[in-house]
Amino acid sequence: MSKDKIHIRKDLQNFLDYTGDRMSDRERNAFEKELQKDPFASEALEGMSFVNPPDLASDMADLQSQLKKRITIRRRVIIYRIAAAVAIFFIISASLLTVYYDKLGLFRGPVAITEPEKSEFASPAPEPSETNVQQQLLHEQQSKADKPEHQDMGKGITKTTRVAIPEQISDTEGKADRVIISPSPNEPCEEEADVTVEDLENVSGSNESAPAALKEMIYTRGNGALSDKIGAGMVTGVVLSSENKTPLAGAVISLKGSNVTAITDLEGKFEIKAGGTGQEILVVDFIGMIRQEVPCPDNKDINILMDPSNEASEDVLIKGFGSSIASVKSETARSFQTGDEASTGTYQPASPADGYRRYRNYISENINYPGSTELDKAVVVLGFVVNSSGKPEQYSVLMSPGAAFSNEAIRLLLHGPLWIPAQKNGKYLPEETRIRIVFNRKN
Amino acid sequence: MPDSVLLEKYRISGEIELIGELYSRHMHLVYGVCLKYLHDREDARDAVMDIFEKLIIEFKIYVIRDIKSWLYVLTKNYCLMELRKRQSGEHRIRKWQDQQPEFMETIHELHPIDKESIKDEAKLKKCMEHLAAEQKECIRLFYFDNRSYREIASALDLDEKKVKSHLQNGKRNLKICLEDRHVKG
Repeated sequence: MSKDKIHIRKDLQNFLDYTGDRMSDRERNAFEKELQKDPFASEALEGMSFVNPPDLASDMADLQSQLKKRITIRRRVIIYRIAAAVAIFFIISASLLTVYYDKLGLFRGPVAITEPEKSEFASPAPEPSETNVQQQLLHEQQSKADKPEHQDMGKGITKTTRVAIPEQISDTEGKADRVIISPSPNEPCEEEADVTVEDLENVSGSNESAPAALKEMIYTRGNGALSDKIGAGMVTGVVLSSENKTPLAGAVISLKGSNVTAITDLEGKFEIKAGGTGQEILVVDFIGMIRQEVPCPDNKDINILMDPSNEASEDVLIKGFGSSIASVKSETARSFQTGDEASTGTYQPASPADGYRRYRNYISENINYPGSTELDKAVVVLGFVVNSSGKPEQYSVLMSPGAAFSNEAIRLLLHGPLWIPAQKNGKYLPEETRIRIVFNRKN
Repeated sequence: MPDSVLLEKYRISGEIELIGELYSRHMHLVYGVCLKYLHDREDARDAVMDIFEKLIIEFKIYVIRDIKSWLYVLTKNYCLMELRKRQSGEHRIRKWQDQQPEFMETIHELHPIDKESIKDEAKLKKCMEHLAAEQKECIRLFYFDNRSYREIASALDLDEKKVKSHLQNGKRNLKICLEDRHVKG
């Protein structure tokens, strides 16, 4: 062990000597050669050079003592955990015992919790109006099932749909005429129905005695509210490149000032929950293109042209999209139903492991302009899949002025830095990613 | 005691001192990398301790062949995650990393030129000739004349960073050439 300690000190000492300029040039070269072999050490040195060598030494000493503290605390934590586990065990067994005695009637403590609720059902107390509506319905459409179940049913629906079903639904849905709704004006019925189809299914599913007609009615309502909501605010459109009017797949459209977003599909088409107010603005992003802001149209159908960005650094333009778009879209659609915007945020397109900036640097430093051409500028678009170890494979040339350009682009891609594959909910997604490489004669 | 033995002992006994010993051997590297990405001594120190906490758990879960390179990737991923958190509050990298242990452990392979003995010297020479002038010169001075970055920088009137990037790109091109069967020495 003592030998190792000397070794550690020496290793750290080398870094200190190197950053503190206490090495001869031959020693520097030898150390640098070691760094060339070891990317970990080489990156560490880069970081250490931000700090003065004396500070570095004191930081390391500080960290060593912190580490020791952590270890002792950890040990204590383990003891505490054991103690806590024992305590919890006692508490649980004690409470179980109490309950057990309750059931046997041996122990008369603070029990009988279920009684008051039952009495509520027994007395026909004035319920909120929705429940009344439901009750009416149930009376009309079903008379055999017994009373407590009616009330359960009514309650269940009231809870999940939360508020009244607005009148407009019966206007939009033909089937709804079976439903008699008479919201009293003094009830808070005008709130938008926050209907989730799944929830309704659950309710109807859990209540086997409910007649089929009633189930149908529930579906009708759910869908009615849903289609009404989408109809009021869906904008569709196509995003195209202004260069050659080709559709841009994987462009991100967002509603300014909100977290509503959509991604274009393979044909550049998108659908976004927006429109209606006349004041909303759509923001369109595509890597390598100039960000576009367009007022949200009323006609609900829009063509958006994007101009390529002329920044010199934008030689590499990458965007993930592809096979998963369909599922992303359905996820978005689902989120309308559930009203849960967060569920769309777990998709992550593929990206270079070291970041786009470094990837661009790699391309611009290694790109060779093919000699056998008269073009001064060319664009190659490659599609590929990042495999689970981060390497691009299954590439295809999607756009290219010629084989010389395609080959160079493929060479750059395959011999270049690794990628982090696309992920959904943290899971690897073997979807196609596109990379756009711009050749400029001047380099 | 080598790293792998320490780790094995830890897996059996669960004694945290062992992992502490193992970690303290590489802590300066972890700290350096954290400094590089986080640009802040305070943050980097916190990161070093957080990574230790992670290790305690992960060393038990995963079978690790190359501890150092594994630690390297873990550190980098941690920093990347921190940066992402700062930027957007997202934790996408963490989820990815938790589920893809095999992705984290890519065994680092030495570049032919960094190995003790070079197999095919004639081919290497030939491939050197294919390199761009500056890349070739940097590799020659560094590997054959044993010059330090600093010396090369002043000899070629370049920035030290540029020297490093020439070395890196030169080595990459060299490797591609060396692996190409059509090139004969």
